[in-house]
Amino acid sequence: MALRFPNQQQPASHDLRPERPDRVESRLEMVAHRMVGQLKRLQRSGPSLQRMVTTIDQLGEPLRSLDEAQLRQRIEPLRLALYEKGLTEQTVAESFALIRELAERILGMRHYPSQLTGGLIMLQGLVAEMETGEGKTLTATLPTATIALAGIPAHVISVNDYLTGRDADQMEPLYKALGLRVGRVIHGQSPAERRQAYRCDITYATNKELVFDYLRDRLTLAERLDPLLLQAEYLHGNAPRSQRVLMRGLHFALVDEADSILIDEARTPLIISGGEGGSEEREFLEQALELARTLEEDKDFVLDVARRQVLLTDQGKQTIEEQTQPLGPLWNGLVRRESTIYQALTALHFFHCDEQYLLRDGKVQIIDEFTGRVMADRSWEQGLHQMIELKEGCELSQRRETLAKISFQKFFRRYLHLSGMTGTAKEVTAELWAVYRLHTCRVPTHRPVIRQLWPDQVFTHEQDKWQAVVEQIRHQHQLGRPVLVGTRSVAVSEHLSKLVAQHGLAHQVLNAKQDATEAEIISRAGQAGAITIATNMAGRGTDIKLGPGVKKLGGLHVVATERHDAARIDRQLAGRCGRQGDPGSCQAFLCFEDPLLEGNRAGVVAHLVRRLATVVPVMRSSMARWAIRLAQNHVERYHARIRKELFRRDQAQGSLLSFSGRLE
Amino acid sequence: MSESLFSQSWYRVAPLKPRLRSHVQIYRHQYRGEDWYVIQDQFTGRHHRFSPEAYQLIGLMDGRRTLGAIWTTACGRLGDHMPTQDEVIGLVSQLHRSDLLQTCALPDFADLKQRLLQGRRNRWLTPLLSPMAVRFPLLDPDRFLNRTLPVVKPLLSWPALLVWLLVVVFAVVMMVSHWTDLTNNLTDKLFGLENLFLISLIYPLLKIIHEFGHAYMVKKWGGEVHEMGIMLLVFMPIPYVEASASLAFRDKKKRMLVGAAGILIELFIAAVALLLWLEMEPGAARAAAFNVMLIAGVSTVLFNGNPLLRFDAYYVLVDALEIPNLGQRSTAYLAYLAKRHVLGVRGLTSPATTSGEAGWLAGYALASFVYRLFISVRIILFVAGKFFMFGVVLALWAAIGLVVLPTVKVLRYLIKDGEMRRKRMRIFGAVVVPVVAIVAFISLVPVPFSTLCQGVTWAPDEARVHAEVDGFVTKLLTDSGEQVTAGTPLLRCEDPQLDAHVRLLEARQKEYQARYNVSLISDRTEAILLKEAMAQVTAELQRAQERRQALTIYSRKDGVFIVPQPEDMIGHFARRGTALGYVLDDQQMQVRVLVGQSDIDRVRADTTRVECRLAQNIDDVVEAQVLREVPAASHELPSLALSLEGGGLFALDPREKDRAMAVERLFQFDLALPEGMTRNVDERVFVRFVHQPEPLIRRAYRAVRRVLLSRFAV
Repeated sequence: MALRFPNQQQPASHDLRPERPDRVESRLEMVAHRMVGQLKRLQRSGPSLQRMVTTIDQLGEPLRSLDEAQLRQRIEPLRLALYEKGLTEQTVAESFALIRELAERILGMRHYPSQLTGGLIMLQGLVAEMETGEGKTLTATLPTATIALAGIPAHVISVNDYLTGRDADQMEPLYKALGLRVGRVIHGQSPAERRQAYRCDITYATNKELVFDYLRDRLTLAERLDPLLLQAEYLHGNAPRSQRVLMRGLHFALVDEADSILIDEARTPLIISGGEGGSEEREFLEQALELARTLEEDKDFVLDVARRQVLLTDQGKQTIEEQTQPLGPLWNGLVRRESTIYQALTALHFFHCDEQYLLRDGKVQIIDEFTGRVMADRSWEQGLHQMIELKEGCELSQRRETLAKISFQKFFRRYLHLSGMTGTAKEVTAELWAVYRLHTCRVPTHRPVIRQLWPDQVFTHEQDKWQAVVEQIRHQHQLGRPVLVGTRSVAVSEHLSKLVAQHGLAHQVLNAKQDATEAEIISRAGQAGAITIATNMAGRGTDIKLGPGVKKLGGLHVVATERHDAARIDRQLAGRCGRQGDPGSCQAFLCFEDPLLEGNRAGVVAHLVRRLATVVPVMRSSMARWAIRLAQNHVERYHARIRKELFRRDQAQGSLLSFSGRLE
Repeated sequence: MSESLFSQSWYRVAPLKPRLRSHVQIYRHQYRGEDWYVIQDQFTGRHHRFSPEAYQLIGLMDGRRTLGAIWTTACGRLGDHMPTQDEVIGLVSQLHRSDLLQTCALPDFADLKQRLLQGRRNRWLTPLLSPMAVRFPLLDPDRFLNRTLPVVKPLLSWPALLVWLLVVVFAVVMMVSHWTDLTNNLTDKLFGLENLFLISLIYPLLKIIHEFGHAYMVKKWGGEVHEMGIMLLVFMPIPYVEASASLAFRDKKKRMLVGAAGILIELFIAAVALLLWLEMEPGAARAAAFNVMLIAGVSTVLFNGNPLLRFDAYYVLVDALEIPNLGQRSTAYLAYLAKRHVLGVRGLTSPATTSGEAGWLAGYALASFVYRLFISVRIILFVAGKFFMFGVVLALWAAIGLVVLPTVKVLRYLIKDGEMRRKRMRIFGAVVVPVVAIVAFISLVPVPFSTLCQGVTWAPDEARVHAEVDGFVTKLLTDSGEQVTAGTPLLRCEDPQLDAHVRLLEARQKEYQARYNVSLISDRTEAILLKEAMAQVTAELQRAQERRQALTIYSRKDGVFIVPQPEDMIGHFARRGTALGYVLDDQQMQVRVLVGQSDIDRVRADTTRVECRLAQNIDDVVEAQVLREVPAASHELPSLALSLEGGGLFALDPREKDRAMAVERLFQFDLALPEGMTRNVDERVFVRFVHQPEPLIRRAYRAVRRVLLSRFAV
């Protein structure tokens, strides 16, 4: 069957800002949609992809003998052809061949056939699942440049500023050679810079920045979104809003690390807030925190660890009422009283320094759960942030009022054409289809993967685990191999750093506190004998180049010290070694005291198996591994359900609030 | 914590300045001593009820304050009852959806369009989804009603009610006294073809009058009635009037009267028709009167006048109890009870807000469900009897509506709800285990199982003492209950005619003898003839004497002589062959049992034991053996004791005047009782055929199968 590429061309302008309208599916539609997804999975596009790759190869042959100038002459006709005929198999093949040839000459990298396949998949609006280290950045140039040549603004979206900058810098020469302009949208840019970046043919953007810009545009436009109104304003003259609008619509997006952005981060909506909210009286919050400290667990309140919720008992409610009686009129309202205490309890019991946040310059700064990075200028909602500031003895920031809010799910569904790539999509294929209508297609690797996965070590006590981790680090270090140790939080990374230092081992720490020197640390991590202790920051997209001679020693060794909430994140960490056919090895050190098995979030079965593992002498280690695998599965399912509910609620809320006349 | 004061979406609504649309009117009502506010939308004719807390908010919506300010103000006023932001959003959204709200914001046009489309689609879909109640609005009767109201008004007054009362009470009295006339051959009368035609003429007329009753009542108190049309209720066209304007009436008596008007009128018509029917000569007019009475009366009692169905009386009851939305809320209350007590969900608010409501809600939910089930089954069986396929469709529809959908709803809640996910163990313990246990019990555990029948004690033929010749019983030679041996005389009968006959024959014999003697001398030929004749007479005499001998009845064997009613026996004329008594030896007492067709298969194929209880000795259970069974069924009843009239189970066929015949076909079994149980013949015996224990579900299956077979032959 023939491949299908996006062909509708909508004008890119600040007035029209085309995007796909929101749509709330009925239950029946969802069921039908899911069934279509199942059918689509059966459909094979392999042969036609293969045929296309061959065509591109053939078209590429004559290009190899052309000189620079001749090659450049080919660009303009191709652009015209793409404009006129749209994206057809013929034009796409020509475009790919040309890009490939230019990439070889300019970047010194020629796309492998597997990368061509990946590019074709993405151009069709699918998610390409490529093994870690297969060169996704280079692959992305094929569809992006083709789309841009066809006159459609392309957004390439990555998980953090570091990757955005790195990818854009690396690939810009190629785009320039094609006559395409590249813009970057990262944190800390002025609106003018951003506007400029979005006007480029290709825009590399960090996911959150992109969404915030979209929200800012919505705020600028307020409720008057109608293109005609905007055009009239323009004619009217002074300071039309269309000149302040940053984006030109949502045409084509290529989402790098699609599972991270589209799935993991989908749980937290993005919020723009303004500082005009009234500040709470410090005294009131102090009283609340004071009171919350005196409440006893299990008597006055119950902690639901799995859902990160505090449940007040009847006794607790009574205690609160008695205790607050003399405190004054602010405490009179029942709902206000209890919700404030609830916030205080949440702040005390679920938010810990160096896990959920860190203190920097006397301010509370949030650490992103998935990327391990600091999210500057973000704050928790509904007074929680102030409560934590108070708990840490910081200056109280002004309570911020929400101005606009959108979830990733809602945002990305608005793209006219969406595609993505990732190393780990297997588990979330169904969800990607259900929410984003994104189908996943696996791309075979260019070279066989020779990464060794050593069996997990499971310990009963945390102490033993750390000892074994340090032992392993030392052992690999003595062999001369570089070691990358993955940790779950800033606090843990620092704890391990201390332990390693005690053994007299020189090492680097990469976490949210060290984000300024990230690039430098990464560049050294592949050198012989390097020890790097990192949080999730050294996960997705981080390309650790092996130093001279390291390959012979066996490549990079990755030590995982904990399982994450999703196996995908573990696989990403393992994917830091053994890239593009390099040697490498990975081993996990786990224990029963890991947060994954904490409370009841792991599920009953996992706990049973764990018990069994401690009692029954045979097959102990495999049972322990099994328990942890079960726990992880359970947590994964839980998160998936939460996302689904959130999505449903988001949709329902949308129609509930339709009277407000504001979309976000 | 289940509810938070603040909403994540508040920022979107806080700056809005809402106000109610200008055509909306608000009335204050009292329900069970509490204030409620009813908002009447005069464009759509819809009414919306709000709590005082909600009204606090709505009252502040003047188009000048922002919603944020309204909330703050309301919180100040309401104290502990302050609404959360989510509740406010819910309220505003509800108002918006009901088109009661105007805001300064530009509405979401996409959403408006979607609602428009959905509304249009619903207008098509609703009739398709519920084909049993489709409305077709036709005209606006308001002006007509206004003009005619002065004429009708006297009929809506207190004196009119008095007349109504008199007529109806009188009719009820008459109905009671003529009950048998009324019910005689009711079904025949009802389903005659011409009668059905008559009904189809009368029915719409009656209903139009009924509906006008509602309409005039509304008009009387100043409401407006703008819609009238035809509703297809179970495919039957019925006129209807949109009388919801009465909802705005503050006085609940007025609301109730509007609801009751239709019933009152129909009852009055029924009463008048009854009186006419009693007075009239048979003919078409009388038949019409009968039908009018029937339709107006029956439909009122079964449907409109029954508050358990959502017809007129329901609304009257709702107003009387001051529990609006009784139906929905009672279901909600049951759900609440189940959630709270079975599933242990905490933090729920009860739908019963005032004291005393809870009982009503729970009671109503149960009663209405049972009644709906009952009436559905009746209607289905009735319809299926006439039009089988239609009945099947109706049955499916009812099963889906009454059983499947609620079950699915419950299941979906248990499986999908977030709260329930946390309660997996509880659900398992409180729902799954009991349900599985019950299902397992019903379908797996064999329960003792038996068939109950009635029979009579029955003496075998050889034990009977028959009258061998016709005759009057003159004397008991042996008292009833005495031991006799074979040859003991038991009874003496007399037949005066037989005696005369013997004497006659004896005389005739003598005569022939004399004539013979003479003819021996005179005429030898004649002598031979006479000898022949004499031999004949002698033989005749001998037979007569034998018959006379037989008037004394002897026992043929050893045993106890029993005469059922010895005192009645003397002077009793016994035809030849009549059983006069019994000579019973102890082994011989039998029980003759009748088994209906529905039970015969089981009794025949699977009887492990037979237990009997004799009527005289009801406490003792004796075991009996099946001696024989009659393979074919018959109508004959062995004893009148088994007929309904005799206290038994089987109705007598009234067409058979002479013999005891049952209406249904019955199978006979003879059982042997153990020795010395009873000497009473024709005594009632309760017989229990004990079968193999069997799970209940198989029994239910058989019962259903039987109903289907007997009623529809499927």
